[in-house]
Amino acid sequence: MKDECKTLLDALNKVSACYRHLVTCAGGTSDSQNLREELKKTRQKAQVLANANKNKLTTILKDGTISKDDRAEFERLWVLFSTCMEILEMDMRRALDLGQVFPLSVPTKHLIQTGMIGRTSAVAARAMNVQNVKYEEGNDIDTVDLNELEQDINEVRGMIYEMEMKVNVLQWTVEAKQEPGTELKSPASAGASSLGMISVHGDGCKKLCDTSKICAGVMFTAVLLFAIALAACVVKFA
Amino acid sequence: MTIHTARIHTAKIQMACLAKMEKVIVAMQDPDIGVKMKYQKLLITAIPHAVTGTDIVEWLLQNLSLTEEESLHLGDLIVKYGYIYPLKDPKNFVLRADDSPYRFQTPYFWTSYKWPARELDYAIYLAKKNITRQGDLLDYEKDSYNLLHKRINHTWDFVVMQASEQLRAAKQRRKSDRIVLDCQEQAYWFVNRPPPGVINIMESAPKRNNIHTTKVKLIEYYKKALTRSRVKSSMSLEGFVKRCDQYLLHDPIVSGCLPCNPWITSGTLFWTLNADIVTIPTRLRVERWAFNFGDLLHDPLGHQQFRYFLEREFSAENLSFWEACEDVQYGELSKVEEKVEAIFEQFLAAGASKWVNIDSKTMEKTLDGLQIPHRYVFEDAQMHIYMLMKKDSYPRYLKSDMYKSILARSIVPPETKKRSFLHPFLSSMVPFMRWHRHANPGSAQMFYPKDGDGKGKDMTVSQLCRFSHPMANLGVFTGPNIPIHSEDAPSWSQSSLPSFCPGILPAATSPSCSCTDPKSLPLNTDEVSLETQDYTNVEDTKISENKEAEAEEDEFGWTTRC
Repeated sequence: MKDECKTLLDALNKVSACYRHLVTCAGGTSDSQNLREELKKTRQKAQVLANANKNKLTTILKDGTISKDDRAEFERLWVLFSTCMEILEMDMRRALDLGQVFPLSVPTKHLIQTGMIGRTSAVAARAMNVQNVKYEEGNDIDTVDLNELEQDINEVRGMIYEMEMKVNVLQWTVEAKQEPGTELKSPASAGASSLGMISVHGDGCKKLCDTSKICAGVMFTAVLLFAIALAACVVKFA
Repeated sequence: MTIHTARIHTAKIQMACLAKMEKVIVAMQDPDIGVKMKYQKLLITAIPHAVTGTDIVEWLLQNLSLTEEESLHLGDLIVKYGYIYPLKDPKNFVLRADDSPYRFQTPYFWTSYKWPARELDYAIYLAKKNITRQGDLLDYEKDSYNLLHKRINHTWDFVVMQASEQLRAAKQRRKSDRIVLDCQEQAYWFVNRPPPGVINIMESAPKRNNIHTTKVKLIEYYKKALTRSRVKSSMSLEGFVKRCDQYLLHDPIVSGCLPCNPWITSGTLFWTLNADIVTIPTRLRVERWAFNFGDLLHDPLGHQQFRYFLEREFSAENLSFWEACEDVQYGELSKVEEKVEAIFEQFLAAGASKWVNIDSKTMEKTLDGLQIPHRYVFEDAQMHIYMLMKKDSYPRYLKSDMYKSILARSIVPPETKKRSFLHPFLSSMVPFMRWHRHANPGSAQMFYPKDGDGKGKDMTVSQLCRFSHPMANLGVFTGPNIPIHSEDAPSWSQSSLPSFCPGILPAATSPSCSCTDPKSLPLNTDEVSLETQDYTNVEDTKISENKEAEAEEDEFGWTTRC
C-alpha cells in the first residue's frame, strides 16, 4: 500500500518537474507549437496522476484503522502530495499567463531570444513515459488550449480545496525524513556533477575534468606531432 | 506558505515600471529593428543570442530617442531588474557599455509582483545547486538552506525529490540549453534573493513625505494608549450585571409594561400614565429618579420636581444655568451667539442676577472662550455645575420630603388583560366579569400607605405590581392572559369562560385603570365610573377586610394603593 502510494507520488513528481521545465521555456525561442502541445499533454498526464494520488491517499487517510506509524507515514506522503499539487497549480497558472502574453500566432509579438534553441521533446517524452511524442494538434493550439488550461486550473484548485476539506492533516506535525544535505549522497548527484563541469562562469577555480582532458589531449597531439616530425627528420636524414 | 499562498497571487498586478520594461524587452526582440544578437563562445559550444552592452545602449538610444546617459541608466535598470543578465560577471548586475555579453531572461523568470518568488522554489533551487556543486554553496546560500530546512521541514522531502527530478528532466536537453538554463536560474535567484550587501530591487523604499511626523505621532498615540487605564472585565461585567439588575424591572420587554403594553393591546393608557407632566406619576418612574442624576434630569416630571426643590433651597440658578447651556449646545446655530451673551450676563457676570458658583480656573477658561462664542464654550462650566448639583443637591433631594411624598403618591397601575373583540350579548355579563388581575392568589397583598421612610421600597416592585382581585377567585377570565411574571401565572386565570369578552370598548382598556388626567378620557369616564362603581363596591368590601382603611379614593373611585 505504501509502495503504491510512493510510486504514484514519484510519478507525479516526475511529471511536475518536466512540466516545470517546459513552462520555463515558454515565451522563449525554444517555444513553438510543439512546446504548447507538449505542455498540454504533460498537464493532462499530471492531472490524471494527481487524481489517482488523491483518491488513494484520501481513502487511506479516511480509514481510521491504520496504525499510528502508518498514519504518520501517509500524512507525510499527503503533505508531499499537496505541495506537489501547489507547484503544479502554480506552473499551470504561469503557463496560462505566458500563453496569453506570448501568443504564437501573432507575428508582431516576438519571442524572447533566450539562447535556448534545442527541442523540448525529450523532456515531454520523459514525462509521458514514451519514446517519442506524437504531435497531433493543429495550428491554433495556443488559443484553444488556453481555455482548456483555464478549466484545468479550476479543476486543480477544486481538487486542492477538496483535499483540504476532506482530510485534516496537520502539516506542521510532519517531519522530514531527510537531513539537510542528504541529496548529496543521492545517485542523482553523481550524474549531475558532470553538469557542473560545463558551467563556465568562472565561479571558483575548480579544475574541470573536461579542461584537463582537453589539455591532456592537446599535449598528446603535440607530442604525437613532435614524434612524427622527429621520425620524418630521421627518415630524411637517414 | 503552502496551500494558501497559491491563492493570494491573483490579486496582485504587475508594477507599471516592470510592465514597461517588458515592453521594451519584447521590442528588442524584433528581428528587423531589434538588437543584434551574437554568439557566446564557450569552450565546447557556442550559445546564440548574446548581446553586448554597447548594442543595448545603442538600441535604446536610437529607438527610444534618449540621450546617452539616459539610455545607459535605463539599460542598467533593465539589467538590475533581471530582464537581461550578464554572462561574464554574474555577480554584478551592471550594464557596461562595452562588449561584455548579456543575455535575455526567459519570461518565466521575469521579475514580477504577480508571481513572487516563493520559499519552496528557492529551496528547490538550493537543493539543486547543492547537488550540482557537491555541497559548495556560498555562505548566505548555506544559511538560507538551513533556515529553509527548518521552516519548511514538513515538505523537505518533496524539495529533495523535486530537485533531483528537475535535474533529471534537464538532462534531456542539449548541453548548451542546460548551460543557459543554469545561468537563467542563477540570475533569477540573484535578483530575487540577493546576497547580503546587494540592493534588493524588490523592496520598496520608505515613503518620503512627512514620514517622521506621521511616525512620531503614531508613536505618541500608542504610548498614550498604553497608559490608558483599563478596567478588568470582571469588574466591568459586575457593573454591567448590577445595572441590568437595577433596570430589570423597568424594562418593558423583560418585566412587562404596566398597565398594558400599548404595542400589544393597542391601549394608550401606558402613555397617558407616563405623560411628561402628570400629577400622579407611576411608581417605577419615580423610583428611577433615584438611580442616577441623569435619569432625574432627563425625565420632565423629575426635572420639574427637582426645580421646585431647588427653588425651596434657593439654588435654582444652577439648574437654570445648566438648562441654558444645554439649550446653547443643542439649539440653533444662528442663535448661539446671542444665547451665549445672555447666559454670560445672567449667570456669569459679576453681580449677575443668577450668579452661579464656578471655581476660578473654569471661570477664567470660560471667560477666555467667550471671545469666540460657539456651542461648547460653556462645556466646562456646565460640567462643573452638573457635578455640583449631582454631589450636593441631588442626594438631598432624594432624602427630602418632596421626593418621598411624590413617591408615596405614585401609583402602580394594575395590569390589564388584553381584550379580544367584543360580543354584544356578553355585555350583560359584564358585572360578573372581573378584570383578571395578574396576581398570586395566595398573596392578597394590599398596599399599605407609606410610612414615609420609604417602606414601600422594601417591597419588591413585583409584589407591588400584583393586585389580587377579590373576585378573582371566581375564576372568571376575560380574554387571553398576558402574564408578566410568568412564574406567577396562576392557573386559575385560565379557567372558565375563556371566550368572554367584556362589553367595554377597548379604548378604555380597563375600568380598573384610572385615567389620572381627567381631561384625556372624556368619553370613557362614564363607562369607567359605571364599571368601577360596581367593581369598587365589591372591592371595597373585600379590601376593607384586609387592609387598614387608608386607601384614598380619587374622583373615579379608584383607590390608589401605596
